[in-house]
Amino acid sequence: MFPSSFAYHRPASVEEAVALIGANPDAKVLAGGHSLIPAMKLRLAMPEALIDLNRIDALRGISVNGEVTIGAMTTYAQLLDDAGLGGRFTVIHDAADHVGDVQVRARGTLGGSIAHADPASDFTAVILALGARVTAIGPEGERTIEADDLFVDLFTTALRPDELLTRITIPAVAGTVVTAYAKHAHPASGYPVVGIAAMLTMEGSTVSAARIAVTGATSKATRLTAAETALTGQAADAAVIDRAAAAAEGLEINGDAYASEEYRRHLVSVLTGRVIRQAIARAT
Amino acid sequence: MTERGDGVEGMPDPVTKQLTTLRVNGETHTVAAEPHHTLLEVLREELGLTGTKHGCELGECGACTVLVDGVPLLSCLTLPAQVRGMEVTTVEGLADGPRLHPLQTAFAEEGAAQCGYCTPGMLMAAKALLDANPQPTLEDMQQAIAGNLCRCTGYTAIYEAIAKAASGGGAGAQPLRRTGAGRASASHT
Amino acid sequence: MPRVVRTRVELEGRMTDELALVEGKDLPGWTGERTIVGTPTTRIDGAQRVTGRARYTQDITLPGMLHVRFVRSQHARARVVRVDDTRARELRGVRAVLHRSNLPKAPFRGEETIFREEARFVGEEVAAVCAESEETAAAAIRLVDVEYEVLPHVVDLEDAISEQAPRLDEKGNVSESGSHSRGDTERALRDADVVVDATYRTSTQLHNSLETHGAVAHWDGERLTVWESTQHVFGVREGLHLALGLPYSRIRVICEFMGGGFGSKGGAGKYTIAAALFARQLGAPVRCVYTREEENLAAGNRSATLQHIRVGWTGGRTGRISGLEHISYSNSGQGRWVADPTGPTNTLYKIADLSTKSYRVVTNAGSLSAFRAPGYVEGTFALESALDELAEQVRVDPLELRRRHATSIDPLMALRYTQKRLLDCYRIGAKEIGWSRRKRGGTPGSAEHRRRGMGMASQIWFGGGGPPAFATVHLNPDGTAVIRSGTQDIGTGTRTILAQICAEELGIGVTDVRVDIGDTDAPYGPISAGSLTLASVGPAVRQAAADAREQLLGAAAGVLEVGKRELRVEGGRIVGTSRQTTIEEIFDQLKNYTVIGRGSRFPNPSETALNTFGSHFVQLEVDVRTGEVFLEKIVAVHDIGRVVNPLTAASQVEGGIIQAIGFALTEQRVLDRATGRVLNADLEEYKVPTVRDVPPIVVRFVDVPDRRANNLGARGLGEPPIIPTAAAVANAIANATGARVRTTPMTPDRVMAAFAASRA
Repeated sequence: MFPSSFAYHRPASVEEAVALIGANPDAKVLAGGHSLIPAMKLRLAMPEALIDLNRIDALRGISVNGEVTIGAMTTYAQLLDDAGLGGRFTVIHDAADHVGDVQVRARGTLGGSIAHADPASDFTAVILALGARVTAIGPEGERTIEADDLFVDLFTTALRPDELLTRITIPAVAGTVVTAYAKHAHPASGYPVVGIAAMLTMEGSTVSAARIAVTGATSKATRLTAAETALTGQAADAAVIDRAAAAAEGLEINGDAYASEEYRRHLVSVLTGRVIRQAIARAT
Repeated sequence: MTERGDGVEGMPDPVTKQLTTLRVNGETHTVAAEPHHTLLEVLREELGLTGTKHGCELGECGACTVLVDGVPLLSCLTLPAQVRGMEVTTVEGLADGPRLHPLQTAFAEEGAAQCGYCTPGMLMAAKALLDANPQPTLEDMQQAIAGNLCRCTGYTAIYEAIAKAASGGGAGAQPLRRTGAGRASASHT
Repeated sequence: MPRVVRTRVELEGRMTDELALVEGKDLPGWTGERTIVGTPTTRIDGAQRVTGRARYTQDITLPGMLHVRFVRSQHARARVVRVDDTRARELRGVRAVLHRSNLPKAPFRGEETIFREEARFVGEEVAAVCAESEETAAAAIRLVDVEYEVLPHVVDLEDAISEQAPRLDEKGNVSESGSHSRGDTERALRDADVVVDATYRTSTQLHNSLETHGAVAHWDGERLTVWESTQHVFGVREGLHLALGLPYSRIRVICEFMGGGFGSKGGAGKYTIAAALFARQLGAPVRCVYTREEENLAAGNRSATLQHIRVGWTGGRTGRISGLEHISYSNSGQGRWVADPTGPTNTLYKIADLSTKSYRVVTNAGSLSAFRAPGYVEGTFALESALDELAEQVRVDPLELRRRHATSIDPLMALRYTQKRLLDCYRIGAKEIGWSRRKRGGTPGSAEHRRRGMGMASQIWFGGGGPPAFATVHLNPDGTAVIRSGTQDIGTGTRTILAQICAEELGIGVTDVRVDIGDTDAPYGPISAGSLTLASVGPAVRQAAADAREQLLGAAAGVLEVGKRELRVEGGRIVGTSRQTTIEEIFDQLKNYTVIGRGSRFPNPSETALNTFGSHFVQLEVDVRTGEVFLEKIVAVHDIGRVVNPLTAASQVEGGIIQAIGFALTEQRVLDRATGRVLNADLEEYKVPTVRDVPPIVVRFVDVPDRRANNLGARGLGEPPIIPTAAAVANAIANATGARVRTTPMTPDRVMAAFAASRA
């Protein structure tokens, strides 16, 4: 099984990469390659050129300094190994631990996954829940995009074709903040059939703010605003959590050969309840 | 960096082989290979290292796992150009001359290789584990080989082999008995 | 002197009367303790498998080798009107294209050629391209223009049964493939106090051997040599002989190592024939290896089934089964045969009034091929589920219900079994799992939303083996031996167990035995399927080793000038006289001389039934909110007679169980009814279990030699461990939750649906 032939470019800097992207409109950017190379072998993608970002060191790394900045080419393995991502960033470890297997985590990147915007990606929901923003660079320079504005549709983001995603920033939030991720994985692919990420701000036993997002069940990662509303300002007792979980159902949900729309809808609700309980348990 | 041939869509280009320098199993090779072929094909077809296997070619089965700078990667999704200057290790590079690596000995002794087709990839994933974590727990072992499919053994013997290699494989080895009774064999009645 | 005997031969339950060639007299069974046979023995080819040196068909590279790819039908049913290969042939590197209109006559599985006029499933071969590289061949198939006349199709089993379905066969889509009746089942069911009436469904399972199907053919002008990943080198040779019209002596088939087959690699495939035709036509070596997708479209599968069972009970808690009816339909796709799911029903229990019928249903889907205990896996799921449903209704412990219906006589043929120790399996298994802790209605699980349960099921299979099988043992002047037989090691450890048998009989060490198999230039060996390799080939190897030993002792007696009867071989030495001698020293007197012992497999005893038995016990948890099933422990106990190698035997059981877990919980081919396309012909969507899906497995054997079976006292083990697991899982789910899942795989949504049904 072979991809069609392509020119291979390996820029050493972000600037060089941006220039190459500008000069090769039919090129694809190569990050971990675990989605792109199979797509090329299956001839679902036939790029004229590949622009390999793997040797741009500036795109890798994690810095924790109030807010957290993660380079787009940071791998899942690096996320898992970073001891600084504890506390309210535990959701990142939760999700990275759920991604694929050792081989995939060694190569797959956070930026690649977000820019690809697979409707069944773990991290799209995670960055939505964390209220992150991404930074992109293009011919006109840098700009930032809020995660809430990033995912447009299936495999479609607000990034422009000539832009390169460079980093993900998770802003600092005051107060007691807890996070969690729960997932029902496809038994074969490991992708989330339903994945729910949550970030809750706690004042005692009261949830003062909630960001909850779903992936896998919808055509793009989506905030569960009804569940957030049901939770916000409430003492998180069993009845409130059950109400929030029930509120999560009101979405347009996809069905497929593995899981029907009805079953997925059910899972969204069950996992929302579980992820809230798991997050709250981390506050104590 | 490379030129694209003038092939018709979907057809192989007539002039596509490029010279690439690869470090494989401690030796430097300069090979002529199509740049759009993956490391798996280059290892097997250009270097004759057929120990690394084709299983699915889409990154699902782990049969093509090799180490690149010690990290287990899927060679079917890796381009040769991506590993230039890096050290590639295949199953052929595991033994030290005629001396088998402890993992190889343990896999052979515990019957962890049944048909043996997944074994090279499994061994490389296990080596990466033990190099990073010489005393793995059961959970660590599960994590390490969860991306490698085996259709024959039922995995139990593979665990036991990794555990045996980890503990040195000698008399002090702690065979992994996952239940009180373990993977016991014949019981006479 | 070789002589011919008439005997009944069994393969996967299908009996035929055949002539078999035997020589001399069969050996009596071993008595007393064995030192090599029965001892856990490391695989003699382990080093090759762990170093990457083991050479599989996919690793064969020959100078100037060409590559074949198939053009496959994109339609579920279509007449091939015209194939235009002009554009493909113009592509640089393409050497030849074969299709219906230019193909030489090549009879294959009852058809005149390998390309049919009507393509009858998505993925059926329509043309083949041979090119200088695989990449060129892959590109060229996109340039072969095929004109199709699309015809109405049906792919789903239940759709195909209905009156509205397009008729794919003149006689209709449904044909009876087997039936059995004893007593008066209708009356028994009518008079029963309780009747369970249930419908079960099993899904199509794909083999997914890690090494896909493939062959490399080389024609040197006189002789065709084919390397093939196969379970039967002689079967491949026969297929090539029929298709190419070459005499047997001019065909050699080799299978050194192979990456799994599980029943699907039983003979020559279209890839074999195409590679051989191109090789002969172009005078170059030709390789044809399937991609994973091709493997999952065109290399066979386990049939989906629809099964109805009615089973009655009379007499309260001390009662008995009164009447059992089992009607089964199997989706054979385009297969020409069908496996029989009612086999276990006919034989597993003592039931006086019983009626079974099985039907083959043709559809526009890929053909079935044997898949590890074909029919028995599907049928046991239905039978053993139904018996538990009955046990639950009449409040009898499921294990007690089975014990109450035990039989030492095969109820189908009314013949006594050579040996049946199923009750021992129950006893050992119940103790290992802690069956006495099982509670009706299950127990609380490890979390609030989890329930725990226990279930079990029994199995019956064949595995007695039989003739024809031959081997030679060549005793070298240095005291080492070589076994030659045209059997093959499909991953089960054949080389190792044959070496053990030879070493045991000959009196030398296992490491002094080399095993040359997987080659039609060796004496005939049977297909490695039906759990028969050990029981067929092993006794022949023992015969050959004994023959070699007798010749050696004769030579030693002459050299040492003593009576042959005084001598024996032990640990590679000739002992029995005051003068201990090595084999090497004897040969030193005889120059560079090799002793060749010959052995053949004798027929099984007549007027007995020869089967394997076992039972599996499962403990699991169910998440009652999501329907997910978490296996906690599986206990497998089997009666296979003598266990030759406990190490490889345990591997076989563990491996069988893992495939069974896939069948039970995750594996199913998904077909789009509108187009007939397989939606998960890959490993991204089709779930093969990983290490994460494996619970602790306890393997036990009754391990009592079956002295009536053959000169080893051993029966086969390939199939048994895949048979009872799915039913045991279903029974444990029902025990845990009260919900009965009657369809495999028991996916979370099906478990949820069963919860809903049990509440209704």
